[in-house]
Amino acid sequence: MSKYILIVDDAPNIVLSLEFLLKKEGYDVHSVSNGEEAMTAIAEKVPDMLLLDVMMPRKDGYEVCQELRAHPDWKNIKIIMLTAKGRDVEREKGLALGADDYVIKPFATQELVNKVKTLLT
Amino acid sequence: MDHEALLNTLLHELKDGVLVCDPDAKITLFNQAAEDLFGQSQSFGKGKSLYSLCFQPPVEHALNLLNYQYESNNQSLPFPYVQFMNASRNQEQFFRCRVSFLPPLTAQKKSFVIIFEDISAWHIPDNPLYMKIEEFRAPMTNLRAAVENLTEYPEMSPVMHSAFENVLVQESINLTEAFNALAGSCRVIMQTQNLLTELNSVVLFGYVARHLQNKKIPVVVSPKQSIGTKVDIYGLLLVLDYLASSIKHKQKGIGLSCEIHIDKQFIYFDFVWSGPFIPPAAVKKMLAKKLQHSIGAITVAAILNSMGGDIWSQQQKNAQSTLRLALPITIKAGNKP
Repeated sequence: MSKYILIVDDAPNIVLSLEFLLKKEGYDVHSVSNGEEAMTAIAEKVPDMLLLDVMMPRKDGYEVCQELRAHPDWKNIKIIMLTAKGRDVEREKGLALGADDYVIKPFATQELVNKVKTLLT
Repeated sequence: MDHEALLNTLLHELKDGVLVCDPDAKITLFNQAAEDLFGQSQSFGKGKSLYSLCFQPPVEHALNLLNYQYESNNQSLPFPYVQFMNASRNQEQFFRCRVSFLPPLTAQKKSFVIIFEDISAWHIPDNPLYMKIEEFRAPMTNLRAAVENLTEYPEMSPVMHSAFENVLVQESINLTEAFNALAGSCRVIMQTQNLLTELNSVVLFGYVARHLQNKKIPVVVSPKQSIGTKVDIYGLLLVLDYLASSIKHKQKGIGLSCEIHIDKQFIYFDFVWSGPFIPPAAVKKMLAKKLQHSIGAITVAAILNSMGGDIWSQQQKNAQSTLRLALPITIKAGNKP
């Protein structure tokens, strides 16, 4: 059974590329555009991994990350934060709040796919 | 030319305003540039108070820090002055200030010299260039991903091909707009970074610890590692005071303490208490809080951004909670891509 990846990002252009690429790699992929929609989607079906944008309307990536890590059923979901926040202190914050990896935009899509593969192995 | 005449000539030629003040901050001497800056004010002149021209707390904190450095036997450290931001009383002019003591340094109350550089023309308190750089990342990612998909998978369907081509057009426009905004703001951030004062971490930790202890907050400093760092000392203390009072307000009756420590990349000021942590939404509100006594009435986030810092709250395993303020040890130009 293929692994399920939930993409949480409010930028449709990157979602288009990531969905296309991850589906080609054989993953089951679904996407939502903000943190609140992400929590609803996770409650319906628990993903193996979240590709999580940080800056989003309503509920940001840090909040989603912290809520997942505090929930016993969701704390083991792999999380890769994708963000335009490029300062060292923000990477430190993302990892401290529970992200498994933190990828700063712009990134090479193949590098991201490799990180996904490594974390889901 | 005698010595006094030579000094007067030098002072006269300086483009920054120089004021010499007695221990009570009364002006005793000034140069032409200072007269150009403040001469229109009725409060300007020999015997008048410095604090009728600019805000008192940033100057006092700088003097206290200099005094602390002297008392801590750190006179040999290469920090003979403290640099900070200040503004005219009507907040229409912003200054980069440098203050240092005049001899004799052994005096209980010391005279000091303060230099004012007018930065009103370029200074924008919220540091917009940082935001402009971030605006590049998303369109660059989207563009790169679309190009990579188009080249790696030429066999894709015409519908997908057309969708990715559309992304190329949109994101090229977004990048052009972001670049124009960035070019216009470049000068701002370079000069804003210069508002920070260089401090040795031992001095910084000791000074902050004393400040918090005066406010009845127990402080643990560990270990005493000597590293150079850059801070806005007045802004940092304002933020720490605000965070401490916010935690006490939200968690009434708790025993709040502060742990100050350092690792390879960051300096941490951790407020620690027993009880629930502060939820992310409340931390966001803290970041957006405009601090009344800050220069330019800017937000906690703006002060932290100027130092490359941030805050977050976490629940620890031992039922304790932490609100962490992290500052980078050194600010690297442009930061890591």
